[in-house]
Amino acid sequence: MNLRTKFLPLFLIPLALTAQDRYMTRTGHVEFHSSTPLEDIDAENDKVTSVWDAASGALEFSMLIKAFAFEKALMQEHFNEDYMESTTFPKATFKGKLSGIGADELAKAGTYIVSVEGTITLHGVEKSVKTEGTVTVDAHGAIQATSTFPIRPEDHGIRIPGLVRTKIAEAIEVKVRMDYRKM
Amino acid sequence: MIVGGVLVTAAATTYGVREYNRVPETAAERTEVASLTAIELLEEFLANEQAATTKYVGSKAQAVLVTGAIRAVDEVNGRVVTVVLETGNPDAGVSCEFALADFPADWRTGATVRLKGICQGYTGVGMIPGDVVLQRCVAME
Repeated sequence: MNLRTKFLPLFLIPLALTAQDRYMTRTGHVEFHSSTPLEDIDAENDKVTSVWDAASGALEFSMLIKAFAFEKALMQEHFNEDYMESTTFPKATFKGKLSGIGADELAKAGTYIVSVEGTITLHGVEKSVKTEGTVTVDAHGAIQATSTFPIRPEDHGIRIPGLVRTKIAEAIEVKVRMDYRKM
Repeated sequence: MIVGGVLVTAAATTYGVREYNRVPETAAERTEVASLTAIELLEEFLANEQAATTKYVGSKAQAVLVTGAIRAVDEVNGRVVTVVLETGNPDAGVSCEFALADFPADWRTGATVRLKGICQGYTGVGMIPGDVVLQRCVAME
């Protein structure tokens, strides 16, 4: 056995560890809720992709704006065409870091409070965000991450005409739920 | 004159109520712009995401017909079923969402199927591997 063959596995160990620490979902859930005395607006997206590297804390989300489903077609059309301009800005993304949980916690069942900090890109406009969430590890090792936080449309350059301003909340409540699987 | 005004008002109200309560249509009600395999669809998005988005997502109501082998079936939230079609790329698939009521009960992993769906784009970005997403899918014979 030459030196290269002998030591190659040692170089591969960090790569293997990195892969083992990565979790992913392709069916993450993001919903938003706008409540005003005139109208409630809800929409859900079950096609959110997310990768979480538990070793570094790096966390990313990507979702297609057109994948948000509304109960009413008219609301969905206004959302895509008039507000989100989803043909021009087809995706919303988050890139940041999740902290407050490590390999020890992931190895045992429990619910852990975590903090998430990063940048949301929505409607082509980046905005820093810092919020709290929970990561739940069940007895079988399944991992679910959840968080709820507000987004203000104006912060992302989303213009709402005065005529409908009273029908859309100034701060939209966003709920995130990710059931991660090991990559 | 008054009767005419009442009729116009009634017609406008009926149209308004119907329009307000209209539900999003399934792919069955849309015209298909292409018929291709899941492998071909993913390849086009990987080669040029912007061009594929313009072609398959478009800016008007349209749908695509896709043929492929089922890699995985996943029920989400008891409301929708996601079928991932095989693409030969383990990090990327064609993800097809059905309303629970529209999902054929006899579809199993490995079976080759044909479906019609509304293409919403490609999710991949950064370290995230992507899927081409089809929604409000219906099975085709």
